[in-house]
Amino acid sequence: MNNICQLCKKNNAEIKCVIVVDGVRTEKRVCQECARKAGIVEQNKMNRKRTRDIITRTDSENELFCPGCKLTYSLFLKTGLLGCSQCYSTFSAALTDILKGIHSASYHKGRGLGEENTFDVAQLKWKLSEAVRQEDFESAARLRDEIKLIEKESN
Amino acid sequence: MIEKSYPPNLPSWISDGGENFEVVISTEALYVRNLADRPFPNTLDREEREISRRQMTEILGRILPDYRFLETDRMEEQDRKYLAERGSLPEELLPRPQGTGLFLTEIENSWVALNTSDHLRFRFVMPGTDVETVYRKARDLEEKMEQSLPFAYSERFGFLTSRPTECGTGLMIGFIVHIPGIVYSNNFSKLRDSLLKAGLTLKPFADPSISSEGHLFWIRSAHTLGLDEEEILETSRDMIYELVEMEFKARDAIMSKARYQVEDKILRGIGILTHARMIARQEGYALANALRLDAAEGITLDAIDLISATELFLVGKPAHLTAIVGEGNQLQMDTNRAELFRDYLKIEG
Ligand SMILES: [Zn+2]
Ligand SMILES: [Zn+2]
Repeated sequence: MNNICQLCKKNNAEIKCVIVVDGVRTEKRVCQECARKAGIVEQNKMNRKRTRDIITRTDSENELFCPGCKLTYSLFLKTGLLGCSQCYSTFSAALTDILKGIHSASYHKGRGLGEENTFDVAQLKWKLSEAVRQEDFESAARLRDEIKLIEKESN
Repeated sequence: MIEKSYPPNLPSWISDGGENFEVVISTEALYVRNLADRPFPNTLDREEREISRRQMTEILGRILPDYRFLETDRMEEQDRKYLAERGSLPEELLPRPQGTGLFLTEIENSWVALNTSDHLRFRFVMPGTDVETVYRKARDLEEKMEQSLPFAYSERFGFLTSRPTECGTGLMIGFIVHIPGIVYSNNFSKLRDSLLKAGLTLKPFADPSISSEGHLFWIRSAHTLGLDEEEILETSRDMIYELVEMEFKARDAIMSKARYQVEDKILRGIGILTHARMIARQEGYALANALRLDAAEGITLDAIDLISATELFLVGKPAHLTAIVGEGNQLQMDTNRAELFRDYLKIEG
């Protein structure tokens, strides 16, 4: 019982992994085939001891996909394009290998984002308009206060 | 929307000669950036891209007072092609323009493209080998934008881009080089290998409709991750100066060993230019290659100056030819090309 894949409920489970669905993590035992569909098999081939891989699955098919933009791993492989910032964390295991292949490196080096306090009011206003558009009124109120404060200080 | 003029107005990176212009036509610095608070444009639908464009345009309009804004999805296909042929519009904006936009300076030394596969791609270009200036200007722009727009960034992967090939610094340095000496002396594959080893890519300047590779190439730095910006600049700078030296040496060598063959090639080209009534695309490209070498090295009759010879690469392209001389079928295009090219020569045909 314990050794049956929890995704297809058919094959023997050989890999233990963490699955994230809408932000909820559950640990699952899956078979090689489901793992391959989910895009984590390469990782395990290279390092069988490393059994914790974060994947996300749809209910219809057991494929790795990004919760931020719904991009599937196979579509990424086809187009070469990622769909959003979150794709980088969703597919980070596979990306690490891809990036090593392309750049011979998998870590950023050098200049990062500027310090938060150098951001001007325009950026806060940008965030405010986004918060309003997404009806996130809590953030909108906070941003409005921040903008007021900065504008008062600069006067 | 696009000004049609004859003689054609040219982007500033062609009309002013720069350092090592005999070999390096231009240098560019390109940045890729995305906004942190939404998916990349390739996963947005048309309406979402339009919203995103409107928001970005509002802010960029203030940051970029010297740029004019083009709603690329309202432009005629011919106008988009015309700008793309001269590097003033990214190729990505040719097939899928909905919800995209372009800020472009009057002299076309800089553009900012909105909603290609990434939210923002922007570049500066200068004639000759001027890595410092293009980098400084592109970086200035990047810093100004960062003040007002939240960029997508992670400590691990740096600035996040739709293509994993461009994440990290998101900075690329590119050149257009004319290397007939290296090609004639059969050193081309050696050059390509050493570029590859140094982390740069090379591709022909001519579009795939032209079968010969010619002597004009794009070179671009390929590594954006694991190197900081200074290292990217240094690699590109070292490589381009090495390439310039290699090309001049190769030109000296072929001029001392095979002067007659080179002269023969060029003079035959001039013969065709002065007498042909029709010049096809491919032939025009080959002639431009030969004449530019002649102009750079002063080999024969002083038939054309270096800048005019460089222009030939541009004005022979279909959208340029159409903009300058008017539309026509293949036959008329080839006739127009022959007539236009003849006008560039200083000697009478
Ligand atoms: Zn299974
Ligand atoms: Zn995504």
